[in-house]
Amino acid sequence: MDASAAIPDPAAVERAGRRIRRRIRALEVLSAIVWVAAAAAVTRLHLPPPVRIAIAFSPSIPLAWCALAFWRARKHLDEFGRRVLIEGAAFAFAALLPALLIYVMTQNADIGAPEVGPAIVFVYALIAYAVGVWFALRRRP
Amino acid sequence: MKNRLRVLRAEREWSQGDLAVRLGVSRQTVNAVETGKYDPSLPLAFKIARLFEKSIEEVFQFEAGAANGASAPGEQ
Repeated sequence: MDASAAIPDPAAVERAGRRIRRRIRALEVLSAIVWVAAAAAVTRLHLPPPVRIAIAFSPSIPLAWCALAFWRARKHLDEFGRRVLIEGAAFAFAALLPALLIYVMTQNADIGAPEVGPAIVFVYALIAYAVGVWFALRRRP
Repeated sequence: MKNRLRVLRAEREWSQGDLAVRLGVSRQTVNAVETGKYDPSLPLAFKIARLFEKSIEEVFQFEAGAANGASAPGEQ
C-alpha cells in the first residue's frame, strides 16, 4: 500500500465535517423555531381552517429537510460514527418505549397524572438520544 | 484489546488527523481506537497494519479474558 498516494489535507477534511455538522444544527434550530411559531399561531390566532392546516403542516418541511441532511451526512460517517449513531438511537428507543407505556397506563388508570403533549415526548427523545450518544462515545468494548 | 497505534503514529510524527486521513476515517475514530474505547473492524485493522507495514498482531494485542472469556489461539 502506498501510504503517500492522494492523501487529502486533514484540515480540509475536518472543515468539511464541521460544515456538515453546522448545516444540520442550523436546520435543527430552524425546525424548532418554525415548530414553536406554528404552535403559537394555531393556538392563539383566529385563522380560517385552510390557513390553520397549512400552518399545522409547516414544521414538517424544515424537519423533513433536516432528516434528509442527517441521512446524507450518515453516508459520510465511518464505522465508529455509525456505531455511535446506532447506539444513540437504540438508547433513545429503549428509554422512550417504557416511558410511553407507563404514561399510557397512568392515563388509562385515571389517577390524575398530568397530560403530556407531543413536544415533551419529542424533547424527551432528543435528550435520550444525546445521552445515548454520550454513553456510546465513552464506553469501552 | 491493547494497541501500539500511538507509538507507531509518533514514530512517523503523524497527528491523529494525519492518520485519520490516511485511513479514510474520522479523527475521533483514531482517538477512540488509540484509547481503547473502540475495537476496529477487521478491514480497518488490516488497513492500519498495512499502513504501518506491520502484521495485525504487531499493532493489536489481544488480552485474554477481555472478550467474553475467550482465549487466544494456543491457550487452554
